[in-house]
Amino acid sequence: MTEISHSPHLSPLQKWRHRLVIAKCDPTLLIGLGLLFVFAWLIAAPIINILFEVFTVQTGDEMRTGSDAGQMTGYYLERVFASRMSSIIFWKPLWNTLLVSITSMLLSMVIGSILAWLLVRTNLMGRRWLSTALIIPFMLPAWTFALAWTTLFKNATIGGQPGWAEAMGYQLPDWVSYGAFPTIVIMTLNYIPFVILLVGNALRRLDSQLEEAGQMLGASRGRVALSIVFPLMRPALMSSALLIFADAIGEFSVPYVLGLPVQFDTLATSLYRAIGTQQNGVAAVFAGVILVVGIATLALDTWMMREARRFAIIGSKGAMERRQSLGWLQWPATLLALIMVFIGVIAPLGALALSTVMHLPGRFELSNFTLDYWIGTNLDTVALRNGILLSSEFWNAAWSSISIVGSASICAGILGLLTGYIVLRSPLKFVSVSLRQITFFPYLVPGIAFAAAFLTLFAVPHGPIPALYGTPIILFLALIADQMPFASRAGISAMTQLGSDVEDSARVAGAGWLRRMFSIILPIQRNALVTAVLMPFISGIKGVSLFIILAVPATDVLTTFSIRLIDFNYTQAANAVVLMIALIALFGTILINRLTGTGLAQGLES
Amino acid sequence: MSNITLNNISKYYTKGHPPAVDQVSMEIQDGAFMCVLGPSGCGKSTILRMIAGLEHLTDGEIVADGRVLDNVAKGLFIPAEKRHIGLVFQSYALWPHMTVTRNIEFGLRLKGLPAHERKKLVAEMITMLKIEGLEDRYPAQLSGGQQQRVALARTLAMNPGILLLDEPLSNLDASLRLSMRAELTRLHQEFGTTIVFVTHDQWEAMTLATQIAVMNKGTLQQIGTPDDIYERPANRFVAEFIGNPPINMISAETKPAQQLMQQAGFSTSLTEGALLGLRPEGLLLSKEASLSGVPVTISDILPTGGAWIIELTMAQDDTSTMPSHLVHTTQIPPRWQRGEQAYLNVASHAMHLFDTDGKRKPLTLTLTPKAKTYRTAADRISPVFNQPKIEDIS
Repeated sequence: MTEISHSPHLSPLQKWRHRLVIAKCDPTLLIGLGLLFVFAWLIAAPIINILFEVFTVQTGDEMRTGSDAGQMTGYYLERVFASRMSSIIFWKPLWNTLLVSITSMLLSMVIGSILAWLLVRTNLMGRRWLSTALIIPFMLPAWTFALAWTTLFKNATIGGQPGWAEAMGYQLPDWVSYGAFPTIVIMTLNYIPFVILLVGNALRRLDSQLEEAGQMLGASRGRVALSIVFPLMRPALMSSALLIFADAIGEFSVPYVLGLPVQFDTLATSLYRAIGTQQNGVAAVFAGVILVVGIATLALDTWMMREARRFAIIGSKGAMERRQSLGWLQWPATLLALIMVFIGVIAPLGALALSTVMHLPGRFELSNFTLDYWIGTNLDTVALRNGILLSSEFWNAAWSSISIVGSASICAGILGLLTGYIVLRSPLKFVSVSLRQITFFPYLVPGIAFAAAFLTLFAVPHGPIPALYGTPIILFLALIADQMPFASRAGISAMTQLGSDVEDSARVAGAGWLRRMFSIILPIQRNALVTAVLMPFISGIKGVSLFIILAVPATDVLTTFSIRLIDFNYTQAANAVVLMIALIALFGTILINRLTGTGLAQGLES
Repeated sequence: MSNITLNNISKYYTKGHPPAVDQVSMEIQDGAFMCVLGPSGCGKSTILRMIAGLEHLTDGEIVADGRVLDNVAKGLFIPAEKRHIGLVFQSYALWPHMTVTRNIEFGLRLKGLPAHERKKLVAEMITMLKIEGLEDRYPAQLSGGQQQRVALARTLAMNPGILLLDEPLSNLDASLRLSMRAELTRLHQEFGTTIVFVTHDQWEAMTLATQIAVMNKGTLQQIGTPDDIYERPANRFVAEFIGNPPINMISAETKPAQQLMQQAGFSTSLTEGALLGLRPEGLLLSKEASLSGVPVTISDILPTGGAWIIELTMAQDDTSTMPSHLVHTTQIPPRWQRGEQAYLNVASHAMHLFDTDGKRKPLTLTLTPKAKTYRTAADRISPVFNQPKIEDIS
C-alpha cells in the first residue's frame, strides 16, 4: 500500500476531534497516562536523579572539590575509580562482590540442577515431600540463614554471646566464621530453591519423547544428555544463572551480617557505609555501578530468552512424564536430598529456634533453657528488659511493619491490576509498552541501589513535595515502587487470561467503566488481586535493603529492629524477631499457593 | 425493529497496512436477517464490532434508525454502553462469577428495572430458551449449547432493536447446530428483530440468512439473497468461496470450454484470459458421444456417504499447457470405473463466465439452429438432479 492518507477528504482536525470524542467515552487512556506519570515520579525520577548526583557536588564537599554545591564535578568518579583510596573503597569490594556472586551462583546452579533432576525426572523416594521441603529456604529472608550461621559458628573475634562451636570448645578460624566463605555458603543455600524451581519447571516441560527418540536412533544415555537434554535446557539454565547473579550483586543483608566483623565489604555494604557517613556522592557512584551491572545482566537475560524462544516451544503437547529409575543410586541420592534439607532448613531454623530458648549457646542442660527471651520480664539487660513478646518495641515494630508494608502492598496490588488492565486495553500502544517496561524496571535495580536513589530524591523537598526522610511515607512510596515488578506482572498475567470479551459484553449490556470495574473485572480477578497484594507483602516484610537505608528509629520495622538487636548483640532476641518474620513470610507464601492453586515456580517465570 | 445504514465505512488498525474494512456500504432493512460472510480476516467481525460500538470507524458513518452512531467527519460517536444494541459473542463471554440468573439480570439491573419486573423477564427468557433448571448454575457448569442459550437470553432480555451474532453456530456440534439454527429462525420470526451475524461458514450463512453480504480483504464483494449469491455470483471470489466442493475453474479459451459453452447454448466470443466456472453438481456424464459431450477420463471416485465426488481429467488441449482436473458431485450411485472414458456436458445454470478482472460476464444465448439443438439436449439431461430416473445417461 502506497497510500499516504487513508481518507483524503478528512482533515487532521476532523480525525482528532473524532478521536477525542471516543477518548471521552472511555477513561482507559486517561488512567493510563495518570499511571505513567505516577511511575515516572516513583521509579524513573529517583534513578535518573541518582545518576545526576554522581556528577554533582554534594553539600559538605565544597572544600574537597573546590567548587560550590550543585556544580558539575568528576570528583566522585575519580575518588572511587582512580584515587589512592580506590583499591580499598571500590576495587576490593567489587572483587568481593564478584567473588561471592559468581561462586554462589555456580555452586547453587550445580547443586540445584542435580536436585531438580532428581525431583522431576527420577523415582527418588519421597520426592513429593522433598520438593516442598527443599523450597522452604526460598520463602525465608536470606539473612535468617546468616544469623543461624553466626549463632552456630561465631568465634571470639567479636564480643557478645559465643557461638555454639566456641561454647562446645572448638575455636574456629575467622575465615570459617566470617567473610567470603560463610557468605558464599549462605547465598548458595538461598539460591538453590530458586534453581530447583526454574530448572525443575523447564525439565518438566521437556518432553521425554525427545529423549526416547534419541535412544531409538541408537544414542547412549550420556549422548542423549549431552546432545539433547543439555541444549534444550540451556536457556533455562542460563536464565536462572543470570537472575541469580543479578540478585546476588545487590545482596546486602548476608554480607552485612557475616562480613562486618572482618571488614569484608561488598558493593552493597560499601554503599550502606557511604550513606551512613554522609558521603552521598560516593554512595551515588556505588549505586550507579550496582545499577549498571544489574541492568546489563538482566538485559542479557532478556536478549537470550528471546533467542531461546526460537526453539523452546515445540513439543509441549505430547509431553509425557516418564521417570528414570535410579537403581543403586537411590540411596545415595535420597541421602543427598535429605542432607540438603538438613543443611538448608532444619539446622538453621533449629539453631535459631533453640538459641532463643537458651541462656548460653550450645549448652544442653535443662537449667540453661528458658523462655525469658520470648516472655520474660525484668531481665538483667541494659535495654530490652522484657522478652520480645512482652516488649512494646517489638509490637511497635511489628505494627509499623504490617501497617507500612501492608498499606504499600495494597496500593501496589491495586496499581498492579490497573497496570495490567491498561497494558492490555490502552488504545495507544506507547502507553501500554512504556507502562509494562517502567513497572518492570525496579526489578533490574538492586534494592539497596534503589533505596539510595530514593533517598537522594525524596530526602530534600522538591517543589510541592516536602522532605520525606524520617517519615513512613518515604518507606511507603519506596515499597510501592520496589514491588511494582511483582504486582504488575501478576496484574498483566491475570488480565491476559481474562480476555476482553467478558468486559465488552458488559459494555454492550450498558455498563459504564466504573460499573465494569466493580461488577465484572474486580470480582473475577479477586484472587489475582490478593496475589498481587500478598506477593509484595511477603517480599516487603522480609526485605532489608529498603528499610536499612530509609527507616529511622521513629519508623522502626521488624527487619531494622532485628538488625539493631544484632548490632547490640542481643542475639537471642534478634533471632526471635527473625523467626517471627520468617513465620509471617512462610504463612503468606503458603496462603498464595492455596489461593492461586499454582506453584511458586509459575509466578516466578511470568 | 430497526434498520442500520453503513455509509462508506473504513477501519485501519495500523497505519500503512491494508485496511481491515475498506469503504463498505450497506443497508440493513428493518427485520432483516443479514449475514456477513467471508474467510477469516476479511473484516467481517470488525464490521460487527463497529456496529456494536466496541471499535470506532476510521472513516465513514453508521446510522441506526436515524441516530448517528459513529461519524468521523462530523466527530460523533456513541459508546457501546449507550447504543442499546445486543451482541452475542462467539465465546459467549458469560460472566464466570455470576449465576445464570444473575447473568441474564445484569443488564436489567443497569436499566434500573424493579426486582419483580426483572424476575418476570428472567423467567420468561429462561422458558423461551429452554434453560429451566439451570438458574443457579455458574457458566463453568454449563455445556456449550447451554452457555449459548444463556448468552442469547442475556441479550434478548434487553429487548434490543438490533441483535448482532458473532459466528452463532460455529462452536456447536453437528446436532446442536441444527436445533440452534431452528431456534434462531424461530426467534427471528417471533421477535421481528433485525439480526446481523457474521460467519466464515457458508452452510451457516445459506441456511440462516435472508440476505448475505460476502466480504473479502475488507471489501464488500456482493450482497444478495442466498440464491443470488450461489446462482449469480458477482465475481470470481464469490463463485469460488461459495459452494462445496468449490466451483471448477477452467480457462474459457480452451477447446473443451468453448465446446461446453456452445453446447449449453451460449455464444463463445471471448476476451482474453476469461475463466469458465462449472458447479460440480451441474456436471453431467454420459457414456454416449451422441450429445457432443467433451471426452473426459474418470480419475477417481470418492464416496462421502449418500453422495459421491467424481474426479475427472479432461484431455489436454493444444491451447492450454495444463490438463484440466474437474470435480463432479452426484447423489446417484455412480456406475463408473476408475480410468473409464466418459462424455461431459454441463447444465447452463451451472455455468459462470468471469472476465480477466474477475467480474462476472453475462453469458449470451445464441439462437442458431445448431445451438438450439444443443440447448435442447442439455436441457433434456438437466432435470437429472431432481428426478434421478434417466439411468441410461450416467
